[in-house]
Amino acid sequence: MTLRTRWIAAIVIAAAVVAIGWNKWHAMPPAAARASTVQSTTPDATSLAAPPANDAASAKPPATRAKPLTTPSHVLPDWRTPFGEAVATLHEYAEAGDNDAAIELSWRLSRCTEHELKIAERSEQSDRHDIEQEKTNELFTPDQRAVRIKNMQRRIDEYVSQREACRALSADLRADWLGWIDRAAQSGNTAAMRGYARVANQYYNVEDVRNDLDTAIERRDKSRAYLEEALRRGDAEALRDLADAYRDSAHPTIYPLDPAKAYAYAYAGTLAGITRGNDLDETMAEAARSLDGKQLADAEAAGRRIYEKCCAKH
Amino acid sequence: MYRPIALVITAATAIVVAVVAWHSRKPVSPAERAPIAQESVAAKTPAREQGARTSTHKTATVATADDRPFTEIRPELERRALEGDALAARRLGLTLANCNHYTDVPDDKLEDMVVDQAARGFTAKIGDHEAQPEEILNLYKLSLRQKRRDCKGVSGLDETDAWKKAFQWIERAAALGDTDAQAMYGALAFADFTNDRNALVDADRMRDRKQLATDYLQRSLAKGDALALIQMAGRYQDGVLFPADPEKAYAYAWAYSLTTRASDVVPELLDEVLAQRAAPLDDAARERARAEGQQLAACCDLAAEKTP
Repeated sequence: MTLRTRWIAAIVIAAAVVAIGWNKWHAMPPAAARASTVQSTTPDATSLAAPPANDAASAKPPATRAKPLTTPSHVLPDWRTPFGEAVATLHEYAEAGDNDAAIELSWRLSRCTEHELKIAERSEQSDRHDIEQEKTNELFTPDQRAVRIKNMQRRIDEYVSQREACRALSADLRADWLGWIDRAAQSGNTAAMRGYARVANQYYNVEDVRNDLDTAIERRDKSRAYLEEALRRGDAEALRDLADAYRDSAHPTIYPLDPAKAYAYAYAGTLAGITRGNDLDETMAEAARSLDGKQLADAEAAGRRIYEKCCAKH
Repeated sequence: MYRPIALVITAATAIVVAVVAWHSRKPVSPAERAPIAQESVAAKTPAREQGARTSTHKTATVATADDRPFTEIRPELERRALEGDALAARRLGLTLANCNHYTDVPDDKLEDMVVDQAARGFTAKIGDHEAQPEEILNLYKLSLRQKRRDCKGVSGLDETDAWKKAFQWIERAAALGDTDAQAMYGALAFADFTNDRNALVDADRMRDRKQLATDYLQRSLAKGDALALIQMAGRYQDGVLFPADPEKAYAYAWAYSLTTRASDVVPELLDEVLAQRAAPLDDAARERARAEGQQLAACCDLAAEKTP
């Protein structure tokens, strides 16, 4: 090897080392990327959902609000961790900027809203009533009745324990239950965007929505914007959420019933390979029952276009 | 000897550089390509029912006092209501709301019903306490006496979606300026929102409806219609239009009881309503509520003086 060749090789190697180092420094994902999460490289998501003035969840931002949620994630507490302890840990991680912890924290705290506690209380009363009825229920043998009563009592104990754990949390933390996942979504985390659309709309019937109209409308609109944004950022999992949102349902959902759209999003999901079991096939089969041949063909074409636009290149 | 090694290193380095360069380029994010259109919920103006702005009140010619059977008079009421007769529309609405499935039941049959229900484990709550069969029977009897008044001339009415139809007529009567219908509007305003699946989709319409119900109720009150007082009591009790407030609910119910309009209600039933509204309040709250009720009642025709 001539001296000139050695110099060229050395310069190229040096350039490669610099380039690799540069890339490692600048292209590192802002948080430990989850398999289903598409992280944004641009901060525009913060403009998506400015905190609403009358949203109790956003009205009292914690002191750490301005802190960017961009640090790597921690190992999160599992379901066996006692509720209060899990919430404390998640709170600490979320405050440190862990998006996954923030998402999980909102889910856990969603069990402590006044609305959820009322529902749990009603279920508890219903179980207590059922226990009394069960004592004389001749449809079952004494042994069967004992097992049924034991199960009901276990549920009651869980309700009581959950309620006590919730009441032990600070009022501020409970009031801001939705803020954590919202802020993670605003930082560009698409898993948080999708999660927000599910956790924020846990209404059970017309009465629930009627009693909470302004908040329900605000969360519904934000959920729609988040799902569309997650899809726009190429998060194929949003296809499932959108397909579900257009399906028939026993509970309130954010879009009007539209079998053609449900089919299109579910079909796009199958093209993107996000099927779990045969869930998307079931969605498509259910939707197809309401569509004629032409509508079905149109829905399939729409699904293909959706897939091409959102996910084909990811 | 070194030439092949140098070539391999150079080629490998070039590939690494190319791959690194490819991955480290800044992608044009979708967000940069197209800004997000934000929905401004706050900017939306509640859409009022058009009729409420444009309808004019016509003098009613079919009075609520018409004693002909409802089935006989109904076609005429409907025709007149569609022509703009507010009283006819109101009567249709109230009859459908109050008298669907109404059948008169003799008192002894009522007792059998209650005994049968008790035997089957049926329970009911009055306020916060579990009602005794005697209390339930008493309430049944009083309610039936009220129905006999409200549903005179009505029998065999068996409508599907009676509440929805009732709301449509009440909505029309209210838009035509009938103050009783305006007072009643809030009690029926959500009758046609029954699909749980679409509750979030319908939420904007519900919000508009709620706003209109509040406006109508206050308008009816401002015009001195005492029916608005008992409806205010109901809405403060159920929390549908206003945040639930037992003291206010009692104050408005008390105010209603002081007006001549209270004679529309079976006296013992009105006493029962007052007792139920007063139950969750302590003595001081009851006193305050009665004092407030006294002032509220000034809006409307007062009956002879009443003592607590």
